[in-house]
Amino acid sequence: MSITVTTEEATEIAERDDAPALELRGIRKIYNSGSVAFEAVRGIDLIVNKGDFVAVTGASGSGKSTLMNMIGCLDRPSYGLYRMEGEEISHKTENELAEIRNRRIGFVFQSYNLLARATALENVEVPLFYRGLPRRKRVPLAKAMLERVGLGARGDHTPAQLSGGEQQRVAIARALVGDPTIVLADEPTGNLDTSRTEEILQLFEALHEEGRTIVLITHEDEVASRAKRSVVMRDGLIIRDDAQ
Amino acid sequence: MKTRQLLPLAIDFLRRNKVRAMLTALGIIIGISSVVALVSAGEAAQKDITSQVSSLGPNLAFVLPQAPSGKTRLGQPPPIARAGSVGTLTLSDADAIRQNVKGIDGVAPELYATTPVSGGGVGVNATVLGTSADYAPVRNVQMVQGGFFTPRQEELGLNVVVVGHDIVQDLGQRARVGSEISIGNRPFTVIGVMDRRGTVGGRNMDNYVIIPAQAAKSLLVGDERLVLIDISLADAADSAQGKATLAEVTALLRDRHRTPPGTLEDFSISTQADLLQTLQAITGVLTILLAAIAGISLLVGGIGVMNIMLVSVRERTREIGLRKALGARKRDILLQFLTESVVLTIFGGIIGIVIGSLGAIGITGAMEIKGGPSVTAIIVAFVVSAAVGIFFGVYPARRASALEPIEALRYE
Repeated sequence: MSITVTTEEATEIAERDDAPALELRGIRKIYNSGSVAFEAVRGIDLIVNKGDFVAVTGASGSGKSTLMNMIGCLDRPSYGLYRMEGEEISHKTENELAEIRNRRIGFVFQSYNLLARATALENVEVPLFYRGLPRRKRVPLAKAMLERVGLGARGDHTPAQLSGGEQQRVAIARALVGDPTIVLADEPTGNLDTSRTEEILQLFEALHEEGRTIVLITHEDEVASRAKRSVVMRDGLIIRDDAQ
Repeated sequence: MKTRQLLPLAIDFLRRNKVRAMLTALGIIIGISSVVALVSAGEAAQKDITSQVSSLGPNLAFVLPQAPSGKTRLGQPPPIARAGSVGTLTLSDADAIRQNVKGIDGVAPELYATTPVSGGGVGVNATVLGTSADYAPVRNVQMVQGGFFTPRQEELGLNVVVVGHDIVQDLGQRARVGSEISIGNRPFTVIGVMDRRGTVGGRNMDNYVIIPAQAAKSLLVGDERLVLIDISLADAADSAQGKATLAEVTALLRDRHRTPPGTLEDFSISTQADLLQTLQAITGVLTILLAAIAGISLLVGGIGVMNIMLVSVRERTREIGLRKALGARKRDILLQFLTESVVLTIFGGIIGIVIGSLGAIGITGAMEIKGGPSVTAIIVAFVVSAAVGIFFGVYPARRASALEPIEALRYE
């Protein structure tokens, strides 16, 4: 049996393989509240290659959260191009964006955002649930990912029975379980004490070693210094980028 | 995401919020159980009455002492419902029909006397009916002991009595065949005991004591007024022959009552078919009333469900935002909340069906009629409970699905 691949498909596959994980060109975000327009992001160019470990820092109001929402496909840019693995996604429909969030992005939030009434294992299963996997396929994948973050024995615990650090590790397992293109972490250590912060940062470093692409948003320089590349934002613009 | 995976999700959520789920379902439970109980009992009563009317046979007709009520929408209530009212018919009307109209097998006037009945000094709760010897064949009375009085006994004016099953049960030996019981302070000889006849139209037929019409008349103060005259025709009442015979009865009574031509009679004749039609009209109205009551209670229950679902959506705003961030589409969220409300109402519906069925058994038992839960009512109740879940769940579910993920994630 031979597999025929059209030239277009072949080009696209090639594009995908070589293409950066994220490519942002002239991204702007303008909020209109009544008569006043506010430009939160004022023209950003950013390329994140596969395997990068990027920290985006900046004071509050610098536009880093807005940027993160757009990277995470929770929000659309007002202007500019956004390519993910070479694929233009600025004009995708709502359902297509939902699928991109499901398959290509792994979110880690400051406040963990676990389902309070569900167990750790069930929380990790959620992205696979929306992918349409039946339970018998979800459970082994979720279990393996909990093992990976060192919580293999605590799968049946609810968030209330776990420490903050453990909850964040569950959230990281949830972000990784769908094998996303990038892991997008928004202040992942913001609610943790120093030693828990260290645990989580070590976990991110280990994931980076494994070849994961990580974008970490933080306002703590100490956390940012652990990343391999630092991007600094101010007033809706990137004012420094190690890569350039 | 596949739709069938939503079911365990919804059941799981409700299981983890048991108290709230139960309280919300309570409105549906009450609504559905009352529907099932009332409709089942109504259906059983309808079947019971219909079978009683049918058992009268197609040859039976009743002459009633009320003007024909073709103008009322419900039609004439059955004679059994009106028994006790008095009108224009007399015993001699009944005799005239018997003597002058051909094609009639039997004529039984029904004359009720309200007089005390006792046996050996012991009082008993009894209904005193005066009638003719034809009553037994016309109303298909079965005897367990002795026999019904004969035309001969009637002619001789003997004080004889036929007693019902309950009378024997109450009086025992004092009401056996051959003994004497006192009706209106006169001695009557018991010559027969009737088999169980049951309850007809809410009347216990087993506490009857039946005496010849003339004897009953003499117990009364003033004129005799018949409650009705039963006529057993040689042919079915709705056949051409039967109709002709009834027309003759009408003509005869018009003549006897001196009814001027062109005016309405002061009596009316109804047949089994008329009674069934009337009953159907009444049960139709009752069904509409029951449906309205049921509708109101389900409306209230449904609003309760919607209320709780709206609260639930608000409480779970962050959860909704998170689910969207993790890849849930609008449709997934919509169906998740819709499934929850439908599972809730179906759960309430099933409990309601169980309670309502038990209620139906209780009611029919108390009414001493056959019948249990109505299958139609159960099926309708189930479908309606699911429909209530969808109808009142759509709005909250749409609100949930319309939430913006960023806003929802930020919600405190």
